[in-house]
Amino acid sequence: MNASSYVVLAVVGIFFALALWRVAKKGAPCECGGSRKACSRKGGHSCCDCCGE
Amino acid sequence: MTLNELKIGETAKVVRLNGEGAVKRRIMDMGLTKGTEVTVRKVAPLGDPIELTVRGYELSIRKDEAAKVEVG
Amino acid sequence: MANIKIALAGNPNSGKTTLFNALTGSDQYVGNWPGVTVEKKDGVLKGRKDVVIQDLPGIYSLSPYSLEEKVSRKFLVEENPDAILNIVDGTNIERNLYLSTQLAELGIPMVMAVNMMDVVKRNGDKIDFGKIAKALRCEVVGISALKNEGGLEAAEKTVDMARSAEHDAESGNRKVAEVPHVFSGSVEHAIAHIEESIQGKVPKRAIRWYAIKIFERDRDVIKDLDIGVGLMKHLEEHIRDCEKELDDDAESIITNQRYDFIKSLMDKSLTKNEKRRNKATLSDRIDKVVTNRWLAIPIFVLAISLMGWLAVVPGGDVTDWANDGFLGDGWHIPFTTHEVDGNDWETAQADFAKAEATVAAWEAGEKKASIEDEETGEIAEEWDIDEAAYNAAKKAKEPDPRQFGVWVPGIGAMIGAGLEKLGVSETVSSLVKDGAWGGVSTVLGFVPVIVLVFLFLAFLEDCGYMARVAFVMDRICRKFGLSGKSFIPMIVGMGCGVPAVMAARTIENKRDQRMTIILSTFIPCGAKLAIITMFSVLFFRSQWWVFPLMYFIGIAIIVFGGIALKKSKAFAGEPAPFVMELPAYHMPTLSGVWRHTWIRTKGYILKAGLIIFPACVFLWFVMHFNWSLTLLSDEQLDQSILHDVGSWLAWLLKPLGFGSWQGAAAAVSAEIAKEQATATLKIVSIGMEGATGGARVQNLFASMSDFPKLAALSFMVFNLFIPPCMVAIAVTFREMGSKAWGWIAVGFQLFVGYAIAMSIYQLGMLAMGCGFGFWTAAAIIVDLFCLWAVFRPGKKFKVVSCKLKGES
Repeated sequence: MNASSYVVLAVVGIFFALALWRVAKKGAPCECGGSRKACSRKGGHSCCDCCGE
Repeated sequence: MTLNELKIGETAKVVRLNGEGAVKRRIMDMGLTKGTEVTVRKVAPLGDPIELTVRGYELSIRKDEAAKVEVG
Repeated sequence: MANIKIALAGNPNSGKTTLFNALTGSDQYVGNWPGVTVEKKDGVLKGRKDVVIQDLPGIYSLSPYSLEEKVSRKFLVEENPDAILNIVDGTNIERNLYLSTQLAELGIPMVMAVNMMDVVKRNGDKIDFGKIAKALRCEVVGISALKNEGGLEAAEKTVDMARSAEHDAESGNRKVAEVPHVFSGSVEHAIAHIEESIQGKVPKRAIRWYAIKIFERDRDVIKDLDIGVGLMKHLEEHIRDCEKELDDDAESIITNQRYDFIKSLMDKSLTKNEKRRNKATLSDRIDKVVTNRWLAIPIFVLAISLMGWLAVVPGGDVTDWANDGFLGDGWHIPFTTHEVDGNDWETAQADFAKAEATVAAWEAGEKKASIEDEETGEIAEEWDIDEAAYNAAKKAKEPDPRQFGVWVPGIGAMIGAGLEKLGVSETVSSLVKDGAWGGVSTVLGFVPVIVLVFLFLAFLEDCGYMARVAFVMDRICRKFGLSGKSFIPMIVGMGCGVPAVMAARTIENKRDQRMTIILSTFIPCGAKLAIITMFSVLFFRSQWWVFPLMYFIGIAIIVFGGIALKKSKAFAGEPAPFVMELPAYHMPTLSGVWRHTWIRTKGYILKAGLIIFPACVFLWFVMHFNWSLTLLSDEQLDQSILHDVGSWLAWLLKPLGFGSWQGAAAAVSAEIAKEQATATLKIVSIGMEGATGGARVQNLFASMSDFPKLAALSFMVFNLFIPPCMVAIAVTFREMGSKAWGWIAVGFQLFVGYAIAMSIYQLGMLAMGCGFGFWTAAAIIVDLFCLWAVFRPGKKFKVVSCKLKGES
């Protein structure tokens, strides 16, 4: 393992953590067609809490 | 005569609604009230439900429900 | 000043959500069928931070009938919005005003916005707003929400109205809102009596509304107000007197007189274009074909098949380009390509592959060289070789794509080149290239197909066909105890299972709603489409029928599953009544269809980054490390954590033909999101032989079963028909209202998916002459059980009245 390998690994790790953090915070996205913005105002967690509306 | 006995294209006036409860209320809410003119537009491919013209729009109900509407 | 709350109320499909989106700049879903909106939601009026607009589900009346009507009524009556913006469909004004007369009685300042004025004008009809305003004592304006005309003015007017009412209240001289009196003398007399006796018990401004509800004997209101038995008895006398005089029940009297009032108002204020009256509209003409006695069902089948053909035939080509070109090695810009030495790019590549095969075969000491077909794995070409051919072949150089036209390197190739340039170690490069990018790019490769299907679906939703599907299918649905309305969630489910489960709310009775929830996710959703496309390309030569076949299997499960469920005690009973408006057709706008498609596609792409990517990285790690966290090479993968965990589960899948740790990993990870199955397969097949990811997946199935195609079919069916993804399961639990019901749904789906996959694999093996084994017998027993469940004699239902959700 060389230095650039560690850099690439770190980048993957950061994206990994960012994705998990976003999902934890804003919920899983889905193809439902709901709007998360309107939903969170209502207290919904993910767009799927309000889709089909 | 009841609404389900009308032929396609025939128009009649609602005389009375039999039955009771939420379904009757719903049918009335949709505009099928005493004295309303109603035309049978068509019957669904498999013979049920039927499509009506009431108060200028298209309403679909089943023959069972139509049987509770007396027309003349 | 305090926030102002404005409620958007009106009939279903009258354009409330379209107006809501225009007023608040938000992105709520709209469609052309009654019941798109099933829950209220709020937004802030553009440019006016202090004005909150509430979009309510459409209702026909304030008598609560279905769940979303209850939501609207509760909000209007109990949460006291500062003003109501009543949307009225101008093309269907008579029935729409029925609700308006009730809204007016709430005593809340109201502005009526007559929508679809563009269509009214085009039809040549005239509406006298002044007369309506006078009769209903509210302001009336004409708007066109779709064309974005007049909506904002109507909203401003409503705000002004709310403000002046507030001002009056503050200054202490609040006027009791004037409400229209629409009933005949004796009814008004009884209502006046009731008003008198409930004074102080109800908010002053809505007293008339409450009085009328008591006159109608509305159970909810009477219960909430806690009217004593004595008082009720007294009021009952007045009501009975009225009923006797008018020879009808109280509910009918109220409804009739409201409509009579509207009718006489219409006679004064609506001038219909007489010329148009008897002319068939375009909507009528379309309807004649689409709901035709003989054509209706073939047209529905054709529509689904067309979508399937679109997704697999042109869609398959686009997927190839997306996978191998755009996301993979690279691609030539069309019309810039030219030949080099008389060969085009494809021939040059094929020639080079042949040369490589020649060299390899000669060096292995063979006299014949051959090339395998990438899709089937069969020998496509075989030729004799000699030393001269070997020498010539050895000189062949790999063709450079850049010589054949304008070459755009693919993202995969760029990532590979980048990693090489950085000198990244092989392990990390494998993580990025095969793990993360390999999985994510597989999922992204299906975007073109999914866009096609979403476009198609958006068109169906917007044009008004949905309600017709319910109309056509009602008879069939009733056979298995559902109403035609249950078919709408199933069509919605072609996009995503989550809104499908939620759309089941429009079904009036709880029992049928539950059954629809259990069944609607059997229709393959957009994400499952990725699985279908992948398997039809890899194992079934992109046959166009694979795709519609899966939909029709889904529909068959719904039909037979419905029949079986209906015979169980929990679901027995009459189907809900079918009383449904059939909206007029209209040509969907390009921007509307595109918006729908984009919102959904965006969800799919976001998922690739937020769910698929971390899942792939995780899978790569558990596949490349053993329990003592030592890195494994691609040849040692059978010592990995994933191998062990997968093997624990694999025995369960043995009877289905894909009982290996790879198969288990793919099937289980697909519960995160269905398209994850395609990504996982690409990753777990890293250790397999094969030049491309697709070839490795084919070899993976070949390693699991002697009949890879059968195993592949079984895998596909299993993934399509077991419970949907986690998100949809969570929504199922929520909508079912109880954990027990949630588990019943999931259990049923798991059983169905497993039983079908097992039957296909075991009976398929039997048909291929593999002999009769334990699992063959098991499959036959399961099938017999299913047949029994479907065909056993059930109770016949003759009871006509049935309990609705609105009744307690």
